Amino acid sequence: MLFILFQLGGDCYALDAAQVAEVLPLVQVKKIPRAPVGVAGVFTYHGAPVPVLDLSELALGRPARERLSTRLLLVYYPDGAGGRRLLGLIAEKATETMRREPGDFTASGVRGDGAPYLGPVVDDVRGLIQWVEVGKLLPATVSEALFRQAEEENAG
Amino acid sequence: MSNDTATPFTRAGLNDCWNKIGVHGDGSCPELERHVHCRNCPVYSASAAKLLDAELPAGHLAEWTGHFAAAPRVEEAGTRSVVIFRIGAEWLALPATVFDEVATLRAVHTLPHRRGGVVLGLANVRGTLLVCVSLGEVLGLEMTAVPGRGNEQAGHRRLLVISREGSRLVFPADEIHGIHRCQPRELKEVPATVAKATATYTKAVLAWRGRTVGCLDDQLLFYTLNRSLS
Repeated sequence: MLFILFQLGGDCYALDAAQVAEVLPLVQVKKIPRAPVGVAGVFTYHGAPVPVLDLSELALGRPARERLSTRLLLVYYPDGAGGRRLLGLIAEKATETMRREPGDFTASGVRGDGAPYLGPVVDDVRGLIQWVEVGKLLPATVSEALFRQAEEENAG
Repeated sequence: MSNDTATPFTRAGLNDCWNKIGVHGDGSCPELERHVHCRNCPVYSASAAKLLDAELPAGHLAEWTGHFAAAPRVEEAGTRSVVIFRIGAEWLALPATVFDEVATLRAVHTLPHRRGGVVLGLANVRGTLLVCVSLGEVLGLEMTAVPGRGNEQAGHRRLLVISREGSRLVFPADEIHGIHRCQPRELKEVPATVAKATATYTKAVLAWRGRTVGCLDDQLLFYTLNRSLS
């Protein structure tokens, strides 16, 4: 199983590559006033608006730094109605991949209520790597509002 | 990660050991025994990561924003790639799939009793002797140089290695443009005024940069070339 690695602060995290549609360089994101925490805004992807989350903002409370190594990961996000939507994730140091079996990961033993998206961990030469589950990044109310907002931005 | 100051995009601060003791240097690095090539070495990938950690160049954000905002290019069914090259004054194209390699010009060793005609001789391409043919001869093109471009065009000459169904040949071209993707509607029928021999081998013509490019029939061309070898 292939994972895309990125960093939050000094630690390494992994996303399931099967859920990543495309890895883009950083682009300009149109901000949405009064958007929920972590929502960086919306950008146009091939003519359609795609909401963007800043993972650093979401997890650490500070925006991702603008570097060449900071990338925009376009992931498939379950929209709750059985379908899936594109969602952009701004991630720092998204420059590596890792091949691991899901069984290599073990529960971290610590479960933060504020971050339900943090999954099991695996030991690696890069340190402990924690699995970030795309489908749990946003509370249902937020994701619903986000995709609706993106559509309204498009219409407006 | 603790420091928030950006590393400027400089090569000065980078220890390019691969250029000194690695595969691009004298190869004396003890790590080479284990990693075989620098590209497998963690020092090399760490340096690459360091370069990627640089500040965004000016205009980077705007450029990519515009790039991804644009509607995707819809490719029609039947779109194919051709390699465009020039022989004499004529621009021609062959499907990209028949091309193996573009090689630099090298000595073509003539064969006894085979002077003139389609077969030019043998050329050594990566240790394999391949028959070198003249497309200009097959197509009946005038091999006169384009006036006013005498000296500069010599530098553009290349040997093109083509293969189809097991037969592999090379032919010299005066200039190569590269690969061009063309859609079926761009291809027009061959005008009746085109010289007979060329028309036989030309399937369609393609308007490209104000020029007319003849798209050759690779199947027929290989058939003729193979026959001329026997």
